[in-house]
This record gives sequence, C-alpha cells and structure tokens, in this order.
Amino acid sequence: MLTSAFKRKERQLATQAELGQFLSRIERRAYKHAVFAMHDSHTALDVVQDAMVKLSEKYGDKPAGELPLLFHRILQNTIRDYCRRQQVRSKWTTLFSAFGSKHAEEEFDPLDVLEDSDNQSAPAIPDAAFGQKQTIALIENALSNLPARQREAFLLRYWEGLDTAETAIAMGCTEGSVKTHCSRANHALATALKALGVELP
Amino acid sequence: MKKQSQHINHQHIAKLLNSSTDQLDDSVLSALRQARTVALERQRVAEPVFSLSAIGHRAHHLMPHSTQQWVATTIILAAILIGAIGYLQDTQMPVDMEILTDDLPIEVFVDQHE
Amino acid sequence: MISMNKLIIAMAIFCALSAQTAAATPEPWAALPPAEREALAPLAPQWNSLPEKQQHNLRILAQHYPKLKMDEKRRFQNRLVTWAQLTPAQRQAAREKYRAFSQIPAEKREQVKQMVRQNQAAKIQQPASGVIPAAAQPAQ
Repeated sequence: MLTSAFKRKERQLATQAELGQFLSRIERRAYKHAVFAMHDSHTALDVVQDAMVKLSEKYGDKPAGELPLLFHRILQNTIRDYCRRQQVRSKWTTLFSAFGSKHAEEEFDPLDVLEDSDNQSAPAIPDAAFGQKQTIALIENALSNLPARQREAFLLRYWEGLDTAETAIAMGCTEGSVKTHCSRANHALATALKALGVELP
Repeated sequence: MKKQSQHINHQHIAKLLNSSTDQLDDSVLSALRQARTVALERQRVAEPVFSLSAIGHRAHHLMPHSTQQWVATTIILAAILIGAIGYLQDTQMPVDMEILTDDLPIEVFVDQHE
Repeated sequence: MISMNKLIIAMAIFCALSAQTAAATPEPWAALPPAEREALAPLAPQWNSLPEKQQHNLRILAQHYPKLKMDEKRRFQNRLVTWAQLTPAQRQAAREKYRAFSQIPAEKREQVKQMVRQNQAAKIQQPASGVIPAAAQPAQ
C-alpha cells in the first residue's frame, strides 16, 4: 500500500515538473494570443489562467508531448467563450445610445464607465528602441484587427509553428479551412502593413 | 500594374512578437506566474489502480445484474436526466425574475431591434 | 426478489412520466389559481395563445410574485407583456446580458444605473425623440 502511494506521488511529481515547465514556456505567448483577441489586459490574464487550469485539471496526467496542442485548443476555445461573453456585454452598452441624447452633446459615454480604471499610457522609451517598438505596435495592432479565425490560424501556424494538421486540431476545423484562414490573414496583414508604411525585411 | 505583394515575412513577424513578449510588464508577468501556480495546484493525477480495485469488491453487490435490474436502472437514470433538464430550465427563473423586477428598465437588457 | 424488481420498475416508470407531464400542462386562463391570475393579469388577453412551455415558466414566476415588494410588483407587471412577446432567443440574449452586467463590480454597476436614471429624467423633459418603447417607465 505504501509502495503504491509512493509510486503515485513520484508519477505526479514528474508530470508536475513537466507541466510547470510547459506552462512557464508558453504563458507569455498565451497572454499575447489572448490580448490580441480581448483587447484588454485583465481579461486576457483571466483567459490565460482559465485555460491553464483547464489544461491542468483535465489533461494534467497526459504525456508532456501532448500538452502544447491540448493547451492551444483549450486556449482558443477559452478565448472564443470570453469573446462571446464580451460581445454580449458590449451589445448592451451600445443600447445606452437609446437612452442618450440624439444630439451631439453626448458629454458622457457609457463605455467610459466600464473602461479599465488603471488604463495607463505607455511609458517613455529611448529613441533608439522607438523604431522597433513602433513597428511591433503596428503589427500587433494589425493582428488584433484581424477577424478572430484568421488571427488564430496565422498565429498558430507562423508564431507557434504548428503545421496545418495541428492547427486544424487546435482550431477545431479542417485543414482546408486553416489554409483559407491563413491565406486571408496574409493578405489582410500585407494590405494593412503596407498602408501603415511598415516594411519588413 | 504591379500586383500587390501578399508576401509576409513570417519569420520576422514571429521574431518581433517574441521580442514583444520579452517586454511584458512586471505586473503581467507576476499575474501569469500566479496563474501557473493556481493551475499546478489543480493538476489532475492518474488514478492509482489499487484504490479502484478495493472499492470494486465491495460495490459488486450494488451493481445491477439481472435484465430487470438493468432496465429499472436505465429508467431511473432517464427520469433523473429528464428531471435535471427541467431543473436547469427552471434555474433560468431567478434571472428572469431579476430582469422583470430590476430597477434598471428591461430595455437595457433587451434589444428589440434584433 | 422478483416482486421487488417489479416495484422498482413501476416506480421508475412513474417517476419518468410524472417528470415529463409536470413540465408542460397547458392551462386555460380561467383554470389558473387566483393568485397566479393576479400576478399574470397583464397577460390575460393572450394567455391561452401562449406556448405551453412559456405558460409553465410564467406560472413559476407568478408563484414568486407574492413575495415581491410593492415597486417590484409594479415593475414585474409593467414588463410582463414585453417579456412574453419576445422570442425565446431574445429572452436568452437578455438573460446573458443580465448575467454579464451582474459580473461588473458593484460601484460600476451603480454608476451605470445613475446614468440611466439621469437620462430617463432628461428624456421625460424632452419627449420629442420618440424612441422610448412603450413599456419603458420612469425610474422607480
């Protein structure tokens, strides 16, 4: 009995170390995926924690090699759930226009009430780094403006390095759809970046 | 007319995005660390075999054996399921009541132009 | 042993059937208990044409009506017709919106309510906009 209990703890520890390593490697990128979709840091953090917990609770005993794909699928589903909820919330905030004055003197915007109260402007950065930061900001902005499925496909294929089959699993669609989403994302980004004057080597 | 290039330098974009993740705020990083801790605390562990077999022996006589018992069990489970569905529908009731009695007008929650 | 099994099966069948039938029995307006008719009074004209499931849900709401405060009762009855006339999808959307709203921190919810009240007060003074739905009432 004691031997079994000891062996169980050993198995758990090995997997916990692997899970911990995996999460620490992916957490920052997961946050970026979420923030592009949610446009809000706090919500993005909630999404990431939600996804991590789901992975851990449901698949924490899986082999380490399976964790990345499982996590991406969970993350995409969690983002989608939160977006749906957020759409619902933003729908009713636009209803306030029905109560607001029709004329231009709308001195308040209901959305202001719900804006994150610690929304801060970006800190000052030295000139040398400004160019790259600006490019990054423009690219990230273009990414967050993409339709959700196009962005998902693009990031999973070209940033996470998943192949078409893996991306299809993570997104819950066919490989054909992945290719379509990627092609559209490429086109949309190329157009946007060109319009923004962003040139990439 | 020159065809608009649809070529995107994926590698460069990936590099820039990686660079961006290196520049995340401390507050974000610590929140992510915390999220990781919470997740690890709730890690699923593979069921050890010894405990299942111990329960199995004692539970043997509680499982349905005859056909009659299986049918009865299925019907009871179906009844529970039907009841559960009814219950779930009824759990909408508190929200409905809130909407109908909240001091905010119903139009706040209802988009009648849908 | 055999008769015990038969009893179990009989009880199970009874449970299943009663669970189903309790869900949706249409009642004509005149057959409703007086307390429910009082709560659902604004719906009297159209009650008999409502779907069974909707009748069932409304009757459950009506059973909670006596416990409401005076102003809650008034709002309930003012909004009942609007609510009943929505499509199931619209009602479901409204529930989701309400739940989303409930998750916002309390002080922000209060700010939103303040704004709505102010707006409504302003609208009453300028009724020319004409977009207020019939069921909208002044803040109570």
